[in-house]
Amino acid sequence: LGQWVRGVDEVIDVVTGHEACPRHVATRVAEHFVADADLDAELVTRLADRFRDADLRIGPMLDELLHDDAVLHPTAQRSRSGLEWYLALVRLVGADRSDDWDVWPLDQLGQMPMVPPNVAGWPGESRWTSAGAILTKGQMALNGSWDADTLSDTDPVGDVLRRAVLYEVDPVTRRALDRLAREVEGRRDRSTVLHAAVAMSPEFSLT
Amino acid sequence: MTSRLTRRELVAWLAAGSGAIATGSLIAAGGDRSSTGSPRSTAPPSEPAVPSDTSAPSLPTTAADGRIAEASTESVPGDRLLVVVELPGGNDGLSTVVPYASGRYHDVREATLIPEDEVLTLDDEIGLHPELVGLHRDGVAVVEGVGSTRPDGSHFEMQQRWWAGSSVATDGATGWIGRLGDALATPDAPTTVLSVGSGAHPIIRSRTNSGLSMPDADAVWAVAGAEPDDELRAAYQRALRSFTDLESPLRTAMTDGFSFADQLVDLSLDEDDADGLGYEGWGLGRSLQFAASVFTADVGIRVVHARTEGDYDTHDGHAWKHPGLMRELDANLAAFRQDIARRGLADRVVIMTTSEFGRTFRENGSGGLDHGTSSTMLITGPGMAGRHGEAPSYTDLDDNDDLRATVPVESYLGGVVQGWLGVPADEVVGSDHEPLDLV
Repeated sequence: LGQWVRGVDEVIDVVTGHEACPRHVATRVAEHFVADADLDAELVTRLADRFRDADLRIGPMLDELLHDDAVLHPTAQRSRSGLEWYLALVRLVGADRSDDWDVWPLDQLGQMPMVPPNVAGWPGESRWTSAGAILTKGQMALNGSWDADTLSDTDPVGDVLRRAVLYEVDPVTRRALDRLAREVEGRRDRSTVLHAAVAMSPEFSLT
Repeated sequence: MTSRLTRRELVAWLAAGSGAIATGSLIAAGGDRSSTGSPRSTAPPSEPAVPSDTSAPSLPTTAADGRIAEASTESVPGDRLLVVVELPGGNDGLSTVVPYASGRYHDVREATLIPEDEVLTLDDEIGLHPELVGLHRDGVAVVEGVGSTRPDGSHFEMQQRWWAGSSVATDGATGWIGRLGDALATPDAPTTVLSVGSGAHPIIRSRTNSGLSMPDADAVWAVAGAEPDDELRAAYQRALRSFTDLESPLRTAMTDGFSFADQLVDLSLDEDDADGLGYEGWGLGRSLQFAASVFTADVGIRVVHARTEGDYDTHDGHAWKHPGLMRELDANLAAFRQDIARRGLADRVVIMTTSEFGRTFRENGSGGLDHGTSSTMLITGPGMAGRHGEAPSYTDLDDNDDLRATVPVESYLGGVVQGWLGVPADEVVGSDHEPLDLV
């Protein structure tokens, strides 16, 4: 960057003083919370400006981001990795059963813990949302839901959405789950299929 | 590929006697190696399928040694199919295709030496491992010295490079089979490549995300093919398909995945079908069995990637571990070729091997071989014969006292995709290296 430095503190000063720093940090933060690719440039600019104006304090930028519709949209653009999705499924069907869950299904999802493709870890983006990953998840979701806790008879869809920590879903998803709840008789079967279906909803795979 | 055969139709067709091996030309008369004279004589160069970069270094292609060279290649590139068998861990090229006539090989190898009288000779310099009986009988092309001119000793790094189809470090954004799938895709058949195994293998990652990765046909049980009386599964499958009405980044993958699952639903492996063919184990054998079924179903898949279960990382006990690996590989390849022959596909399928690197030229102190550089790859199928590339020197070694790669990864992969499938190599592996002239 054209400057002589002595020690780590000066390196940090030079890097954070560079004009590209706020936008670079804002982009990384937005990628983490909003989307892996095709970020809204206007959003990134707004975040970078807030970061710069706050003298590079991260709090105000996060405040701006977390109140943006892009983060709160029910089908965000960032996909859960194989591990993230699997852990969310385990929690959905009952965390107390995690002892019964095997680590090997993660190999099928392409993200075996401690065995990344290289030291940089797992690259994100499309591999978690590939057609093959969809089929694998569809199988795992149903297999993993047979012993899920039963849902309330009065509002099974609302119940399973709360368990999935999905407080808002697209009307398309809601209609599909409502229809499913009507079609499948028996509390046990209905609970199974609703857990599996909500785990396969776009809202559950995207964060 | 215009007709579609369901599982039941296939069984009926086979039962009617039409499934006899359709191509006697694939397995040509064996044993005559005298037809080409010197095994390293240069064959007349054939025209490349597409113009290549004339500034790139030329790679020699030597004459076929007979046998498989006479196999029929009547299929056209648009109908051809490819199976990529990955040998993970780093397969020792010199134990696979043995340079039995080399004095240096005998000087350097001791515990891992394969005696000349055990080698299945291909010419007066090299021969196959004694366990590769089927490949020796059916015919095989060998490509020596394949690797990176700037090798890395890490499995992770070299696997990533091979999956990306690159001799050098890469960001791994797309895999070479994924890019090949993009090139082969048509509006009627958007999903053209399949990796048997992990649900998200990097080798099929593509720009259009059109690749598919799954362990076997049973993997679609939950998402496709529910019988009417199976209310729970039927309702689940309807719900999943309704999610494709939602605009989301998952929409295309869901649509493609469920569409493909619907086509695969009749393909659950019926092991009785493969009785007597000799598939071994639950790893490569089952993967190849699945590949044969997928090709037969004609659902648009043109390329299948399968990994062996065996660990080729033979740091110790190479002399007793490696023969078992070769035996498993040979048995399953032989079974697969028999399988595709009875399905009438023998003239359309080529099988190629890959491995992230070879083993060290010199042995270590544990009767094994450590991470090396280049290795020897095998290609079997119609028209695949002879020695290709250039055998690495056993005296001019690199700074680590190891073999120098003579055939870049890109030249090997490019040679197959261009020569066999008719896809310009530069669309898959770039244009920095001339593809090998293999077909």
